[in-house]
Amino acid sequence: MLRQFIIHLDLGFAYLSQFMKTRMEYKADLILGLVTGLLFQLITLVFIDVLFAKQGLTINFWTKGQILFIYGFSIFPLNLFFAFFPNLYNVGSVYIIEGNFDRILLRPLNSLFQVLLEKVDIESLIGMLVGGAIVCYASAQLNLEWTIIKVVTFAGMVICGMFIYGGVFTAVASFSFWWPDRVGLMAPLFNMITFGKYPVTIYNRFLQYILMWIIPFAFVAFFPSAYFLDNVQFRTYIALIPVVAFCSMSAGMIIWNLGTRHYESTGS
Amino acid sequence: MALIEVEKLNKVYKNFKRKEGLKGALVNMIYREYDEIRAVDDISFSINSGELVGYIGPNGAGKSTTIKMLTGILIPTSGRLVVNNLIPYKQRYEYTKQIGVVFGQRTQLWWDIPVIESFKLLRKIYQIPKDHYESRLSKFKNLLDLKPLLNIPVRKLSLGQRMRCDLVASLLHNPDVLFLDEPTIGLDIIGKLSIRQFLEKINNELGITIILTTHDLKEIEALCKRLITIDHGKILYDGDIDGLRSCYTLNRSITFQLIKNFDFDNLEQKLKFDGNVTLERLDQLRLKINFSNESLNPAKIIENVIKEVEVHDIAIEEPSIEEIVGRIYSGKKN
Repeated sequence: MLRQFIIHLDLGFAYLSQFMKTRMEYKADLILGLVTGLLFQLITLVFIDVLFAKQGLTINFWTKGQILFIYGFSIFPLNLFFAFFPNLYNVGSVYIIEGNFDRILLRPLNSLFQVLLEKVDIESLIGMLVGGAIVCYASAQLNLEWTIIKVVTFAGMVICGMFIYGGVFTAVASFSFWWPDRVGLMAPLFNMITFGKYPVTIYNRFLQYILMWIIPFAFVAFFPSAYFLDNVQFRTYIALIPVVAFCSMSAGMIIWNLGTRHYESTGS
Repeated sequence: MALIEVEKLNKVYKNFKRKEGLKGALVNMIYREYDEIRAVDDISFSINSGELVGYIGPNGAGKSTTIKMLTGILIPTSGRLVVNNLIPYKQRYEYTKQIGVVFGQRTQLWWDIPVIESFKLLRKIYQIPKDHYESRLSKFKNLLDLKPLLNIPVRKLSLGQRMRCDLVASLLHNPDVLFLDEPTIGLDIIGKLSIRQFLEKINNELGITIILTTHDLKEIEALCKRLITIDHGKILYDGDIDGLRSCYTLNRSITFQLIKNFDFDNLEQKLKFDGNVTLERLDQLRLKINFSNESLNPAKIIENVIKEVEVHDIAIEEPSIEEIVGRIYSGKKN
């Protein structure tokens, strides 16, 4: 078990370094990706700024500083997810419909691990700089105090968030094994990510329930932020986050493994 | 004990019937009817260590499906399939370390990185000890003349070059069995020849068991001692190539080059054979006799002809393997 883990880890780095080399070959693509990513973040910031133009306004008892903090936090797990799980989007088309999953099954490695590592989007990590800037700005506005423990917790929660997204989208991608489909459920679920960037209390009860217990995107940014913002109602939820992350990723992997048994390849 | 054992193996695909039009699409979402397609139908065979077996059949016969079950990509619907004491799809990690697979239609290498980097990644994936890796690579490098290709990204290689690299990639981890699905498809004569020679060599010298599908029957004739043919998911023939020849009723012919002009009608009257024999005049000096191999042997015919006319030269035409296989494909026994 441990040996397998070390082999996979070692290979992860080998794949990554290879991937970086090829990425460097397409420099224009890399730079364009960076610029569009930054632009997208800026536009959202302008939107939030316009929304709170009137001094002292709150939305559903949340202040501009708090909303900004949650939004800034959400950028971290999302970009981490974009960096390491982008290939899930191609599972239905490239791997299942076009039959490239054959190649994956011929190697003595975990199949999900291979698919994930065949495409990594490292430049997404740059987006975290924007997230960092927003979190710092919001912290200053709200006079939040940062300790080493809080910083470590922050990093841990970001990683948990990545696995929550990872698990949910792995499960969705796995459905293509049963119903081969080019994009399928991916797109609508991608849109649901946006809901997780704002306080869950602004939505109606039904949506709240879904975001907390069915597709647990509220655990990605909102609940961790509530802890840092010291929100009385929600700060204790932080204890659940690692559990949710573990369950999400495990469920994703179980569904994936069931799916691979349904893989039917393509004609010759 | 045999290396590969296949017993009553079946693979059934369920294809759902798509109804046409928008209304059909809506119906499909709720209710689906399935067609069953029996791609591999109750096949059995066993292959011993060190054999080089050709597996042939027309498009859609079930070749690829069989290979994909043998390599662990597909899970059989029913039947027994054991290779080297392992069940391919169940013990995938262990099994894939013992086999090499090359698909002619699709590369296993990483598209964007140089060949040598792909090899290095494979070394890590299969946990190949460095000295083993070095010695195998240098050996194959010489055999297939890979040296000038190693630093080129795979996407820039020609088909023949890519195939050679794919072959080496499949052998780096020292597999016991090599599966090749149409390894020479689309290659030119020289490319085919170099791959053919290479396969022969690794089969002879390293004792690697090879199972090969192809549409190129010359390849089969040159390489394989044993032939398995499949159509409609069933095995039609399993044995050596000569056996296949004698197993079918075939048209053969002998052409006689005569010294003098001859009277065809007169000759036709004089030469009476039992069975299905026809005479044909090709030109003034050439006479062709067509016959089938089950009724007569060539010696008898030659003996008779020489009695009647003066013969300068004789050419016997053997039935080609193409003809036999064409017969099998079209489903006719005679």
